[in-house]
Order: sequence, then structure tokens, then C-alpha cells
Amino acid sequence: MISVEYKEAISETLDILRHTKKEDVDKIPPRFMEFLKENASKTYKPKLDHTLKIDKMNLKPKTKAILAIIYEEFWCNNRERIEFNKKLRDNEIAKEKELREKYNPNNIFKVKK
Amino acid sequence: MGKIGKNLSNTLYKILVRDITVENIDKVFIDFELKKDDFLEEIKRWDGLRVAIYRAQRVMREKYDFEDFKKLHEQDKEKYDEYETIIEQEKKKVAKDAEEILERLLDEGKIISTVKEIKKGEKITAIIVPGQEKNYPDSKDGCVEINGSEDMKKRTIICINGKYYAYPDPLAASLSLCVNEFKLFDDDIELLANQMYNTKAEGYDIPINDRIFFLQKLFPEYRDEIAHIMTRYGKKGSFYIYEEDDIVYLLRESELRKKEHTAEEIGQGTANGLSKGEEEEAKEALIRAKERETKTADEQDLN
Repeated sequence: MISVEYKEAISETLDILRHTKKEDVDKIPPRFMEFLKENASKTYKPKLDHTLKIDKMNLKPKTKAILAIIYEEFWCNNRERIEFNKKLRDNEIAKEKELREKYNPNNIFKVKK
Repeated sequence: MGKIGKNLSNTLYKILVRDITVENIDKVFIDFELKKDDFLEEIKRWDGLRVAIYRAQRVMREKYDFEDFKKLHEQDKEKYDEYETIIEQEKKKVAKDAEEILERLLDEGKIISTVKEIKKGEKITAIIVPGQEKNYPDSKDGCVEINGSEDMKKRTIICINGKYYAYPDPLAASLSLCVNEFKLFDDDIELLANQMYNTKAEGYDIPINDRIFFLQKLFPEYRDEIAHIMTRYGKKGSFYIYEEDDIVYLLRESELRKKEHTAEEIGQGTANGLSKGEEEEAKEALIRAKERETKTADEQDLN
């Protein structure tokens, strides 16, 4: 059973896709769309403002992750895939660095002093 | 051919596209009584008030679900003041937007009057739009002489680049001419706004409901906005208090509301802040769910 968090993220993803250009949505294989529909939350109703751009919509992190999968698997070409993955890896490094700085024991002691 | 062309399925369109040719079009005929500077001055004076009110009402509706703005100042002074503040802010924005759009359209020669009113005593020779000869029994060599009416009813014809064209519905015909012959507009909104402006410019005493219906048929995506423009602020069947920039603005707003996401935008939006690890975690979760789904189906088959 997929978690509630993912079910809700799938509901948001489907809501985004309902407001996405048909020609782009048509590139997603019907079997994958069916899978999303079957696993979407039956109770969660997304309230998204589609006049906003994706990065301003305050989407759940898991929604962004599923949309990223769709983008990478079905929408982008090889060059775009390389660039996209590089960006995600850069984000990974930046997040790790941030965490290291936040939880660095030396820094904690410094604060406590 | 753009979206408009594809949407046009009526005979009128086909006739116009197939037969009309206008050669040596050097310059779009600009038939404005006001000079550009005067016109822009007029826009500043107008100051976007009506559109600002429209926007302020929308903001208030979204925030408070409040409908009766006329009674707002009596019922809730605080909300009324907030409403007034929004109007003041929006007025500045709207006036700037409108001015920019008009500056550009005027510079590009895209604001044109495509209808000419024939004054009393005036005689105009007009080319009959092919296929419409039966409506002009007095025609000769594909042309007809049209006289300014003696009665109150105005006579209008299409006027583009100094040439006159006769068609029973100038708005409908000029729409096709603008799209197909002159390719004057960058997008549907500019075209629609210009045509609605021309409808208004034709005069208030001419019934225009058929034309509104026609425009709604051609631009189904702006159906509500066309109806809104017709009924909400003006007299029914008249655009008389609307100017072209109001219409452009309302349609742009509508476009924004109906905005569709694209693959590219989704790619850029998701890459912003998402880590590779988060994406892989989601991928694994979906794969696991899919595997369980398959396993359950297999088990059901075995049973």
C-alpha cells in the first residue's frame, strides 16, 4: 500500500496535469496515468492556484518529486535530462552542506558557549 | 494559420480566405480621429478606474466572499477602506499596463478602425466581398456604390488600408480580413480586442447581439469575458463605456486564469530546490507500489 503522503502527492500531480498542455500530457504513457489515478487519494482535494508558476505553488515536496520523474522520463530530451540531473545533484550537495553546517558539533558547542 | 483560423468553420470565413486578395499593402490604414499623444492623454485621464474596480472586487471576493459592493461602505467600513485602497493601487498598475499595450499597438500600426461610417450625402464605392453579391443587387463589376443613409440608421462598410469592402456584417468580415490578409495581430487577444473596439465604434444604436454571439463562437475560450464585457458595465448590447485597453486587460486576465502549465515550466519548477535523493526516493516508492499491485494481481490470477 502506498503511503498517504504519496497518495496526496499523486492527487496534486494529477491536478497539475489537468492544467497542463494537452500535447505534453499526451506524452505520458496511458498505463502510467492509470497507475497515478488508481493510487491517488480519494479524500484529499488539492486547492492549487494554477495561475502561479510551479515553483511558486507551494507544492508538497513529494509532488515535486513525482513531477520531476514525469519530466525526466517522458518529457525531456537527453541534453535536458543531463542538465536536469545536474541541477538536482547540485541541490543535493547544497542541502547536505546546509545540514552539515546546521548540525556541525563544533558549531553547536560554539553556540552553547 | 493560427488558432483563430482553425476555430473558424463557418462559410463566411471560407469565402473570405479563398477569394479576397489585397495587393501592395505598404502600411496599415490608421483611421483615428485622435492623434497618438491625445489618445494616450485620454488613457491617462481615464486612469484605469473601471478595470481597477474589477480587480479590486475580485480580490475582495476571493478574500471575503463579498458580493454586494454597493452596500460595503454601510456594512463594513474597514473592508470598504481596504477595497478603496486596492482600487487606488490597481489604478496605477492598470493605467501603466494599458498605456504600454496601447503604445505598442499604436507604434506597430495595429490599432485600426476597420469600419467606416458613411455620412449622410457621402457616396462610397466598395468592393463586394466575394460570395456576397446576392446581398447587393445593384452591384457592377464586383463593386457597389453605397450612399450615406437619409434616415437615422448608420451605414457602415469595411475600410482597410484606404480600400472599402462591402459586406453585410463589417465586424465579421473585417475579422477575417485582419487575420488572413493583413496578419495584423500577434495573438487572439489583440485581434479580439480590436474587433470588439470596432463593434463599439460602429455606434450604439445598431443591434450587436449577433456579433457578440459570433465572437463567442470564434473565441469560445473567452466566452464569459465577452458576455461580461457586454452586460456588466455597459448597457445590454453595447460596449459604450469600454475602451479597447479595458478589453485587452480583461482578456489578458482571463488568459492568466486559464493558464496552462507546460513540460518546460514543470521541469524548471521542480528542479528548483528538489534534490536527486528526493526524486529517487519517490521513484522507489512508486516502483514498490507498482510491484505490489502486480504481485496482488498475480496472486488473484493464481487463486
